[in-house]
Amino acid sequence: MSYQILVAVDSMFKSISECSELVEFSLNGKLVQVPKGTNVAAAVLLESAVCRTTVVSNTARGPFCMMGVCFDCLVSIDGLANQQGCQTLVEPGMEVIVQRGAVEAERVDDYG
Amino acid sequence: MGEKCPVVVVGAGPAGLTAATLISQYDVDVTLLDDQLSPGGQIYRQVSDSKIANPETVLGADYTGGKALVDRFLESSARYVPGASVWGVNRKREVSYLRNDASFFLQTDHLILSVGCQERPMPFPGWQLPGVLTAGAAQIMLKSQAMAPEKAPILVGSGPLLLLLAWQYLNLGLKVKAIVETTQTQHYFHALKHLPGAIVGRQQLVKGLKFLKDIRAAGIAVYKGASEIRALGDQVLEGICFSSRGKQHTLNAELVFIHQGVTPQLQLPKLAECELEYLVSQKCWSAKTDQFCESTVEGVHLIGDGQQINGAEVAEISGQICALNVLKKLKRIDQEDFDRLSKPLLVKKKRQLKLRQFLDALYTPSDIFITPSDETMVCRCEEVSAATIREIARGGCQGPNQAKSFSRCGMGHCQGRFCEATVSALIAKEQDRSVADIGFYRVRPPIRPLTLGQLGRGQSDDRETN
Ligand SMILES: Cc1cc2nc3c(=O)[nH]c(=O)nc-3n(C[C@H](O)[C@H](O)[C@H](O)COP(=O)(O)OP(=O)(O)OC[C@H]3O[C@@H](n4cnc5c(N)ncnc54)[C@H](O)[C@@H]3O)c2cc1C
Ligand code: FES
Repeated sequence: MSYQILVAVDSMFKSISECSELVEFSLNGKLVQVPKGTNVAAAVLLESAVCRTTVVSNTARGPFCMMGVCFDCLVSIDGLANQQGCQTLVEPGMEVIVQRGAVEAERVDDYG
Repeated sequence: MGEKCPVVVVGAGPAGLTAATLISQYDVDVTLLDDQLSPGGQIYRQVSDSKIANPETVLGADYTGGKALVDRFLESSARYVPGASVWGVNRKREVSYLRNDASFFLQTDHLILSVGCQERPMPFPGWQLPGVLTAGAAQIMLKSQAMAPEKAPILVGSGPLLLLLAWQYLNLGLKVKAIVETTQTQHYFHALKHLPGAIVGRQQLVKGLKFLKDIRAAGIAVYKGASEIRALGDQVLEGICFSSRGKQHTLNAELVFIHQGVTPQLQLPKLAECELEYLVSQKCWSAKTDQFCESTVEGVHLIGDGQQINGAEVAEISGQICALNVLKKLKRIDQEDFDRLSKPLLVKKKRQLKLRQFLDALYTPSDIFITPSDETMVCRCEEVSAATIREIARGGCQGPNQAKSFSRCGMGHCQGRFCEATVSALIAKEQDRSVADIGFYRVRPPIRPLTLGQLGRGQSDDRETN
């Protein structure tokens, strides 16, 4: 697994939060601080637009719906692959890694 | 299976909050499950602890007004279970959900599903590029994450949510590069005939006009009647091109927010085996109910935008009607009270629906997104193009479920949520049949990601009062 951001692009979003409490976690090996209450997909969008490459053509993909419907935001969190970034809050010390292509089945519905 | 509860509500939006609050006032034990961490649903997402300065000025009084509804619910005796993601239900009203990394199971006589809507798929070439997000996603970023675009975005599509988003960005002093409107001229004419009925909702119409006026005053470029939309970029979004009023335009962009209305989230009603019906006026499926919001499956009640797209006000009214119906069945109110209390609500709802007819006609999705061009990616998960779907339709594919085995379309992680409408419409068009006849994807549990470990760590109940 590579620890580099897949495609170097500028950050897409900026925080306008009033919350001053920060949480530190690692995104592809890089330590990143985000306001408390930030979800993983939003944290990715503060850094880049891309959170994985696709299963079929291995092309870049980023969060799309932010409400748990599209599954474009799948990332590996603390070693467990295919987690919905937009449905998971960043926790201190969390390790988030972008996924490349197909990853091994780990979820019940991965076997579908 | 699981602990027995008198009433279970899924979804803490205006519909579910209203129903749960009212039922609990009659001393009934109500449990409300919601996957978010605070109540409010989509429209009032995180209204009780907004991280934005001056939310009323920035997001609008309609948003902050939702706090009263949320407070009434939190003060009620209803049991609130936040962070509960429901991944299965069935016609016996057994409910399975994931919370804190473990699965829990409940059974109830009265299951109220109020899970709301999702963005309607808006497929065009390049819509899968990173940097293209839904307008709903942009709104969620604002409301719950307090995050705004770093560079001026372009908004593409049609519908009130798109204008609302532009207006909210203006309130923040942010730039919007352009609004590319896909509403076609004939839609304005079709909508006009519903205008007299829509007068009950004049406040909402006036608000819409105010948004437009503010957007004009801010000098944002508005391109009307746009078609032939295409997102440009190799690995990530670099720009978009489109034609508007006979002219071709190309604009650079790093962020594009798209919107083409919303459709009900029907996975749970499907699992509960509720009958669905295709609504030609909204170009989408909805779930059948009687006038008191009960589905075709006994004890399964469907309210809000998760049943049929009627907006937040109707969601609240339906929540009240449904609550009265449940209270009558639980013998907390008698027939006479029920009739007296429900009658004015039914009248109010009917009036509100007139406004919806106007909005449906005006913001009907453009055909270019219903049956997109051949090169367009239809299934984002398995990367299946419209050309492939047309080809298998010509080859005799009978419907979306068969399309799965022909093409893997709809078999990816989203379980067809973002391709179902397009696949059915393409097959229907190609075979000259109606979408109602073509049908929809069957779904099976779990409808949310679930690991074997999370399933194994199952328990019967973890409800707690918050
Ligand atoms: C992203 C988005 C933003 C919107 N913003 C606005 C707006 O600003 N103004 C406006 O008038 N309309 C808006 N709408 C339309 C709006 O959804 C409705 O008018 C209104 O919120 C509908 O209320 P509801 O109670 O039916 O559902 P919702 O408000 O959508 O509430 C449903 C709740 O159920 C939860 N849920 C869904 N599935 C599950 C599950 N499987 N398990 C557990 N919980 C679940 C959801 O997270 C949500 O909290 C928006 C729609 C979307 C998709
Ligand atoms: S961004 Fe769509 S599911 Fe997370």
